[in-house]
Amino acid sequence: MNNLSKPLSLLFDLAIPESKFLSSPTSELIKSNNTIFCQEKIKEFCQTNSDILGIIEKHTNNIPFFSLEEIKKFLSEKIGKELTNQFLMEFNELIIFSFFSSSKVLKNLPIPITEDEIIEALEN
Amino acid sequence: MIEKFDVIVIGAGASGLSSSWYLAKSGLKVCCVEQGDYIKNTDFIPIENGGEIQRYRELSFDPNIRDNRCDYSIDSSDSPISIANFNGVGGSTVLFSAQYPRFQAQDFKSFSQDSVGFDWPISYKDLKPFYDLNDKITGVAGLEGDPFYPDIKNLLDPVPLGRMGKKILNGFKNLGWHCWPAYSAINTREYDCRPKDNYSRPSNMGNQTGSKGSTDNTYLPKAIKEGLIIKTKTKVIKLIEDTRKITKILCRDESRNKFYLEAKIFILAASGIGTPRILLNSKNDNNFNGLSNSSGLVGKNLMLHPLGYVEGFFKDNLYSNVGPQGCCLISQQFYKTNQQNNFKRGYTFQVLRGPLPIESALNLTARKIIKLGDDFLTKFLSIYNHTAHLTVITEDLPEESNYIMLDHLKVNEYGEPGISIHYKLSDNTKNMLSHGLSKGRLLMKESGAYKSFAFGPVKSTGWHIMGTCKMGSDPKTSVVNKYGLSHDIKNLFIIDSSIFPTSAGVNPASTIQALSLFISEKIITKYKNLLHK
Repeated sequence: MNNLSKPLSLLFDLAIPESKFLSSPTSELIKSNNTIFCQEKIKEFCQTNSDILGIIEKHTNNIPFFSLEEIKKFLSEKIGKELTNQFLMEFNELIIFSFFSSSKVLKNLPIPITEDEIIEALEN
Repeated sequence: MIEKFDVIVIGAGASGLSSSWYLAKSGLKVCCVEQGDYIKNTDFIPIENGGEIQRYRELSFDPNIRDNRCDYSIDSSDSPISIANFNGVGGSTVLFSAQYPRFQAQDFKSFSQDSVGFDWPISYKDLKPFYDLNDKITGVAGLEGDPFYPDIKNLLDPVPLGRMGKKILNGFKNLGWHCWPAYSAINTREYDCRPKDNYSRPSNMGNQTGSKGSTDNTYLPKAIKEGLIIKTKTKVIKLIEDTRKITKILCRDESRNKFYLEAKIFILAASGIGTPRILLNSKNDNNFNGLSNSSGLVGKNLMLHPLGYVEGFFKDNLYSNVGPQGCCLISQQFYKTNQQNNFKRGYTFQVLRGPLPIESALNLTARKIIKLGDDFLTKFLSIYNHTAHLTVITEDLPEESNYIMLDHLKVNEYGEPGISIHYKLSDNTKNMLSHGLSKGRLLMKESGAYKSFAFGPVKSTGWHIMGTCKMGSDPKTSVVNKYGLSHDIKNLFIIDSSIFPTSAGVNPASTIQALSLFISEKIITKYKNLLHK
């Protein structure tokens, strides 16, 4: 996948922060997700929301964000609550599809995913 | 030159492939016409490689999302339940969860017994040999001795209950309620040259190995061996009728070529939506309201099994999102009419394995149970695999005010109409659903859940599409007779769930296939004169 834009990487990393279950930052994991569906989703999201992503990028050049809540508050003031909620709803769907369809994520999470793990979980 | 057959079966799903096999093995020249394609092993992305996303594209149960070339638009905006299906060889069994219970004997007599719905013109006893035959072909896992199904024998071992199943089983036991391992069309050992299921793919996301009893795995190879000719990616546009007989069908192949096929007998097996759609689309100068519709009932009496959903959150890791989706436990504690309730008939509880991570996370965030941010993953993992899932499948009663119709506003590239659904829950169903949700939460509490949620009807669950071409003995109040033969057309049979007079309160796949075999046998024996002409 092509590099993710700076604001989108930031959003990914703040939405699902680093954790013991993840081998790399969320944005890196999503970047390595090569499924066409996710690539198309990301492209579509960036095109539809280029204005808002631009606003976030401009702001982060001066002052960094440390949480998704901060971005939400910032956007609500800048573009209004309704547009912010719509943007975050679309982002929510995007990150869930992209994150949980990454084989690197699935193999690291403590959930049975391979045949052996599943049979062990079901039968024992 | 028009190709000619003894029998043409329209639709290669649950009923179409079982009938095709039965008729082909009886020595008839059978052609099965299917609008979709074969599903190949290579079409599936393994779950560990992110295959769950296919559920939101080409393997979606929603025809409008899937939008494969063979799909047609279905507008469910005038219904609290939207249609779920799959078009392709195997039909909706490709994506069914493999829940495989039979109807009970009393399900065929709801009017005599409870003064609601209709009596079927056939009985459980009529279908029993065909249920048995169908179980033998399909391979059904379960446990003998269920008081509700004392005559079911020769089952494969049940699908393992897992920790969640055992937990909920204790809850059922504490309450003294009926509970039994689910009847599942899943190979729990190698069976009929098909492998044991490895459980690495939920049963409702297709099956790569042949271990699930979908008809593309079970009947199709047998039917091909018997000489079945199957024409895939071929849409039936219209049945051509002349003096109360179908003479030929007009089809279109994937190269957009139109052509006719002829046969002595025609069988509609295109589902509770597809079959009435073809009949309504086949109107002619003598049949303004569509074919086989002198009763005016084609498309009416739509039943959808409104579904309630109950979740129980547990502290322990129950591995509850692991394994074949629908196939854990069932309970028919509240299946029959109880005079103390404010509804007639009843429902089945099904204990389910939960969905995969994408669906779970989408559900949990939409319901604001978890949200993106600092502790998203920790909270997600405290719920995923820690949640017991239960559905309430209510018996839907037939009502003429629930119907499907052609949708001329949403046409395909050829100007052919889609379908719209017009459906409301009756008060009886609402009361039944409410009862089920309340009892379901009680079960979760008794099983040790620290929190529970219950909601319904669930929107995207209209898999069980029944009643739209009702079976009966009176041509004024039904579309086909008790052997599936149209009252109006001398050589047209319908064998799918559209002919169900009532819905019972269990998944219909097993009954669809038993009924299809029953009618196929009648075609060979009772209606053989049609084949000689």
